[in-house]
Amino acid sequence: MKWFKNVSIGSKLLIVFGVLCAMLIGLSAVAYTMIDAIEKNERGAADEAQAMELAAAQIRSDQNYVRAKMIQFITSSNPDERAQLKRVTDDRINALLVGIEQIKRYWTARHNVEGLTILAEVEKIQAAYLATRIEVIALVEAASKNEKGNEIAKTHEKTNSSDKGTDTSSGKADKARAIYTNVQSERFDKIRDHMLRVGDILHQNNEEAITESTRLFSEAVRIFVVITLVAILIALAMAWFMNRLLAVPLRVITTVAGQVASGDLTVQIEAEDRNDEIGEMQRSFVIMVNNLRGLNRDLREGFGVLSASSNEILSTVSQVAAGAAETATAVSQTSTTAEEVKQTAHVSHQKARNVQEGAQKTAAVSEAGRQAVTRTIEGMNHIRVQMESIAESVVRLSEQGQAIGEIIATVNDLAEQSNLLAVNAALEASRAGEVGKEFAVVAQEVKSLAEQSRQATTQVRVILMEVQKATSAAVMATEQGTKVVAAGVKQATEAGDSIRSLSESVTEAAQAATQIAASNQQQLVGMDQIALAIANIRQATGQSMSGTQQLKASAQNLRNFGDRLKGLIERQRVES
Amino acid sequence: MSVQQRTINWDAIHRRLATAAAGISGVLDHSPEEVRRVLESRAREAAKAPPKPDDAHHLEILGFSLAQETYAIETRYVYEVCRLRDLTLLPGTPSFIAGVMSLRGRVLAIIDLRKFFEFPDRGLTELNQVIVLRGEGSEFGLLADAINGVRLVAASALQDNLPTLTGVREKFLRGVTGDMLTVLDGRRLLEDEGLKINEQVL
Repeated sequence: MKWFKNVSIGSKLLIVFGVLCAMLIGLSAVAYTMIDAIEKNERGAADEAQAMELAAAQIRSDQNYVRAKMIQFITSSNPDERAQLKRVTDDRINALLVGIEQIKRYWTARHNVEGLTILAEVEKIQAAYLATRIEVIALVEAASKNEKGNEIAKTHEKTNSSDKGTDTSSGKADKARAIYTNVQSERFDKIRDHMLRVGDILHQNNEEAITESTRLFSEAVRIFVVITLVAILIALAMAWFMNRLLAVPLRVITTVAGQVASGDLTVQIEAEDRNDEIGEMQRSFVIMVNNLRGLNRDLREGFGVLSASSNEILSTVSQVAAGAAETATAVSQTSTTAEEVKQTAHVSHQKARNVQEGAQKTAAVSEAGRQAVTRTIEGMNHIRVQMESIAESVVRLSEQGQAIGEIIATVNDLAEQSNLLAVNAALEASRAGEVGKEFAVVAQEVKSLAEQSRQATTQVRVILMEVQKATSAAVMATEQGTKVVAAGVKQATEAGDSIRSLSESVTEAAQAATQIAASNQQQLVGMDQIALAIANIRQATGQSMSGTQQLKASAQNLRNFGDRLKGLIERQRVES
Repeated sequence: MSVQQRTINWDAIHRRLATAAAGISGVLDHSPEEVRRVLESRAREAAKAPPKPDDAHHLEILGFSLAQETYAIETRYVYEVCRLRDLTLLPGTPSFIAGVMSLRGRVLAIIDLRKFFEFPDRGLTELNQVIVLRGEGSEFGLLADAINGVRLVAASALQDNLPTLTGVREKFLRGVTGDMLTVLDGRRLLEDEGLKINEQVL
């Protein structure tokens, strides 16, 4: 049954109604067959039986007719009459044989052994009867010719000598009559009896056919009833089965759909394992419910987010409104400030002009400074020459001091020798005793002089040392002075360069001041534009504030809407 | 800056130069009166009668300087003083023998008292004066930085037997005067065996 579940509903219906149609067609076929059989039985078989009965009666009638005419033939003397009679009897005999043949075929078809046996008997007797008739006819004809000629009689006699043994025409006629009255009559009777018997059998056959058709009819009625009952049972089973297969799942789904419609998404439904529309509907329904659950959850979250966002938007819009108010204040302040800046730019313009003039004056002053520096450098060079001259003089003085030192050394040496001489003189005086006492005084005096000379030279040496130190200091000072002068020249040169660059800078400053003046002019124009722009901004800020108010109202509406949606979605149950 | 700020008074400098030139010429060119006045003052000074020295109580000594200290020796043992010249170093002699020199044809041993008295070497000294000592059979020279001259010292002024002086110095010491003049004993120096050995070596 599994496969049947998987068949589509259209195919199911097609199968069910196909089965019912097939049953109907079968029933109709059975009915047709039955009716046809009955009809055939009633119309064909009965009619044929009656026809055969009639044929049997006809055979008997023909037999009687042939017998009667043959008797007339025998007795007739007229050849024409005999010819006509012979022709008539031949026809009747042919018809008779055809009738027998018909009955024989009928029975052969129905395997009627009894009838066929009788019919064979009849045919055998009939053959004998007909053979005898030919013989009789010949006899009659011979007799007739004998009356006219003997040749004919003789010929006739020869041919029939074995059977009749008659020689004469009269005898022959008699003999024919005798044959007919005896043998042929006997045969005729037998045939008639047999044919009566055949008629009875045929009648019986007719009766049987009628009975058969009645039986067939009742049987057909029974089969109809059975088949109809079976068909009704199958149809009921099909209906029950289809109900179970289609309506029950649909009812379940309908119930669940009702629950879903009332907002209860906690329903549990399981898809059967089947591939028809019901199965697909169940699966789709399961997916739908799951999707609805997911959608519900998402919506719940989304509405939460919407609510929170609208709240945030509301607060932000409030902040924006406050900001817009602040912006308006700031714009007013900016406007005032721009006006102040404009005035400042005026002042700046004036100052820049002053700077320009001052820079030109400074350029002139710096040119004068450059010339002064040049003169300073010249003076410095002159000083250096003088310094070198001083150094030369001092060095010469120092060299003179050296000569003085040498002289002093000589004097000192002399004083020392004088000292020694004085000591030796004193020693000599001492050794001379009393005599040398006066000399000792002189020696003492000489020693004193020598000492004074030595002290003088020592003082001179000290002074000379100081002079030497002073000259060295003078030389060093001169050298220092020369270096200072060189540094001064260098510094003066640098000062000149600085003044030159200062002059250039001042020139550049003058140009810059000119540019500043021009820029200030542009700045004034720009400040006017800024004032215009600020006016526009102020206007825009006012519009923005009104817009913000509208936005606030919209945000309020949005929040209410979000709350409402949230309430709606809260009413749906997702989880039990 | 201070140099620039200090203004140079060239007039003052010129005056000072003129004064100096005048002073120099004044010093060099003494007037006859001034020369005579100096000479007269000196003559008067020389004409003063020297104090009578008491031979028994006075010592005639020769003062000299050696290594920033002043010493003296009695003139009795001094033959003469002269300048050190042509000092010849001698190998194989004690360190206090500075060398020998020729004095008017005689070879004279020169003794460095600093080494002999084992003074520590202290500062630079000239050591270009020689005091020639002559006794009986012995003669040598002492090195000195400078000869200060002959003078008289009272014998009572000599303070001897200083407890702090021991060894060589005590042996050759005669005494110390009040003005911290160390008087050496010339006789002991001349008679000292150590110095005599040197004599024999020579």
